[in-house]
Amino acid sequence: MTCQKKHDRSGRFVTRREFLQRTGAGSAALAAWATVAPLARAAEMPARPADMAVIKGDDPAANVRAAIEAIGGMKQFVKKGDVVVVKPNIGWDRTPEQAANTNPQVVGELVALAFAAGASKVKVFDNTCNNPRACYMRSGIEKAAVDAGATVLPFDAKRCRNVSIPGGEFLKEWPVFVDALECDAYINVPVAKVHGLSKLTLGLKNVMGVIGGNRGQWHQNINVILADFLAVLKPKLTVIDAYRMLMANGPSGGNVADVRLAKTCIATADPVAADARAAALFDMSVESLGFITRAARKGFGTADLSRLKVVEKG
Amino acid sequence: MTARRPWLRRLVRWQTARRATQIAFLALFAYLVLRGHGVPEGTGWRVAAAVQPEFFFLGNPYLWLAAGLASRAMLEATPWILFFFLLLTLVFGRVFCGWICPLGTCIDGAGRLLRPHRLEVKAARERRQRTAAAVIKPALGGHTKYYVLLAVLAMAAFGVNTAGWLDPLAILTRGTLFALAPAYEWLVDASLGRAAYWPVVGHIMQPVYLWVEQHTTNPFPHAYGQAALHAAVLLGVLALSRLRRRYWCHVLCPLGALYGLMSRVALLRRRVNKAACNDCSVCALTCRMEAVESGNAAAVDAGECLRCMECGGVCPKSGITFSFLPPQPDAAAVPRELHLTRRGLLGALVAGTACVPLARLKPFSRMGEEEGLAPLGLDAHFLRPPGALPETDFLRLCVRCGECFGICPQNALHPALFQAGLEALWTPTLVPRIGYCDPACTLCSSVCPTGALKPLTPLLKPTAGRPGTAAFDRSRCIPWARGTPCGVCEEMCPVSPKAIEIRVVRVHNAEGEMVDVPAPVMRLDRCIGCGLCENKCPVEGQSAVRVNRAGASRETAAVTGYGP
Repeated sequence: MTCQKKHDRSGRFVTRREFLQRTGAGSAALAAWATVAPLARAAEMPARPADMAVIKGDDPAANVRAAIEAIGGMKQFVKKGDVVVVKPNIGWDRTPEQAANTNPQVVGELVALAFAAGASKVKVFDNTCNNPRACYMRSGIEKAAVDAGATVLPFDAKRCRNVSIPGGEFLKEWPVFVDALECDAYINVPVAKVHGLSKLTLGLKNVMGVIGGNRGQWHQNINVILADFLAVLKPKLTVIDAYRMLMANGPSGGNVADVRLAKTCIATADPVAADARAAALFDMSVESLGFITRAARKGFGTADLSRLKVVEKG
Repeated sequence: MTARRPWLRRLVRWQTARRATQIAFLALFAYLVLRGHGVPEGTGWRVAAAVQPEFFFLGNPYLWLAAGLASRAMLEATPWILFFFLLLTLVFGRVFCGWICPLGTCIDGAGRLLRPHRLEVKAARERRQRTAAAVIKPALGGHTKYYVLLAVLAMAAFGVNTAGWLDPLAILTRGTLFALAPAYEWLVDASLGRAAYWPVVGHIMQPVYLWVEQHTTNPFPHAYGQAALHAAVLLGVLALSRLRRRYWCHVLCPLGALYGLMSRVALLRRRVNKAACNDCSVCALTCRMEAVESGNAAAVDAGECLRCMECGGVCPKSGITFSFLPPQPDAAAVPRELHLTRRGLLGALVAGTACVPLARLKPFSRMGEEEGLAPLGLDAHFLRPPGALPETDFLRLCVRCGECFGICPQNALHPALFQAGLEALWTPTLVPRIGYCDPACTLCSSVCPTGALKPLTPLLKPTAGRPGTAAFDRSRCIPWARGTPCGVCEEMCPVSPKAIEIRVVRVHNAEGEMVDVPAPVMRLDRCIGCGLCENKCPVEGQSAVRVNRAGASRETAAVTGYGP
């Protein structure tokens, strides 16, 4: 066995040994760099942000701040110059203590965070169930939002546009408030409550405040429609206000004895996971909630929280 | 000219004062319309206006008299405003009509518009042609309103209170609240409201629209089916100014008639210096109320004289003064006769009395007319506002002022037509399908000037002020009739625990198959009759769950038909 004589580009004869020697050093260096570099980078960069944060604390605004920070900060969801919609639940003519609407401090904090992340405009509105003026005033949300610089809009049926629901099994199209469709970032901030028909009203149900039409018809197949509607409007960020939870006689409530002071806030980009995690606060299983299981099946998010990085504090 | 005639300057000042006072009270009326709405406070509501919205009705002796006669009771709280106006009239004369009444101010304005100078000149010429001795008595003269007043009071004495139909403040309030204000808001919405969203113009129009909407419209908008009718009544009254400047005030107004009677004995009088008077009759021709006798300037009907002092301003001999005591011995105030004939008075009494059965007639249930039982031609779904007295008492006290309609934040109250008999025309009914009755709100009963809606608090309302209770029409309710889930009513029910329970029942679906479906069931022991369920039911047209009179706080058990 004579060693095979190979020629390199310059025509020079290269032996196997020489080849290994030349490339070996380079490879070893490369290997060394490949091993060390990620560790070095890890030392410079912060840890990967969580997929979901569940924060408990006495101050509702501080809870929101901590939760958003834990999942990467508002700049993950709001870019400079964005028109942002913060969609709370203002549906009921109730005081904040009655827990039928989103906590006004939570709404105010989200508006402030959106502006801090560079939003050019933040809109707050809801298609209420009770008298709109009364709901906006008594919930405290109008004042909190305006104080934080938001534009509070009345819901206007004239400003709805018929949109088709891609993949909709029961409903094919529905009128939706134009401002919700045309924003750059849609932030969904429901309050955690029980509901007679859908058992719970959380993030997915909260979308019923940006639609027009004869909304009562949705009740005829509520779980299917709520899940399918994510194809029309999927929030970039869902913040579930569980500072106060309405545990009985929801969604309208009215009796403070039905309210539990849970002091919790859930924030995540996955709308399905948000509702799934909130269900646990009511000791309800995800399997019993048809809108969650269907939405997960259709791929709008995951109901399996073990697949997510969840940060829990407090 | 005024330097040589200081009295003229004084009179001109008074006329300016009169105009200013008129405008001030019209502004007060406008303020009460604009701010006569509720504001959520705590868990309840309060009135936004700093003055009671029913201010003008609290001081209305005509309505007070009629309601008092009809209900055979001294109205409990006889407000100081009423006494103030009575005293004012007894001292100064018919100044309410001339200086205060907002409808009078509108009529003056209409008179300026509709009776240009040439018409005044033409009328003056015609009047001058008539001889001085002849008394001006056209077909409908100043005496007509006294007959109207008598007829209304006669009806009231028999328990039929129709005073509110012809009360000037009620006409103005109803016309404004039912027609003019909603029409204005509709216009703002249709014009600025749309322009605010146009591509380029929108940036300028949106702040304009928001300002106009916030400051000049009611935050709780209203709409009424009878709007055109009430606009017609109000505009009709104003249009009468085409015939004579203050036609309504002079010929028809029953409140004016009452004030007129008092004005005849008032202390402030118009006096004419007979020595100076040359019978030119300029004062008689100028008087907007035709109070002065043509050819006899000293003769004035003090019951018509508004103390506007315009005649004093035009007298070329400066012979007219308004004073408590005669300035000179020969300054006379000669009263003119009222010209109420025996025939006229009797006719008014008879007409009023004859109208009573016509107003009262309505079909009753097979149980017959009972105290407190509302007549049956009335649908079971004829509801009164919360806190309404039993029907007979209610009809005696309600003066159809319009205040409760305007204050209701939900636009839930609507004027009746003939469903409850002629007598009940323009009384308030609760229509939950249009607007529900907010459980925490008691605004309507807080503004009722006569107590036809008795005062309530949110705590008392479910027991003492329940308008009725709700019941399902299972032939139309979606789960019951079609086997498809719904439950919007249960969601909306505002009481805790809810008056609607969802139970799984077995029914036929639309294809005729038996299915299990969650369906709503009413808990009558919890229902407060707010009508939120009826308002929100998604079934097209008539709701599948409706509030009915059975179970209303004011109804006797006999109404339900279900037993005690």
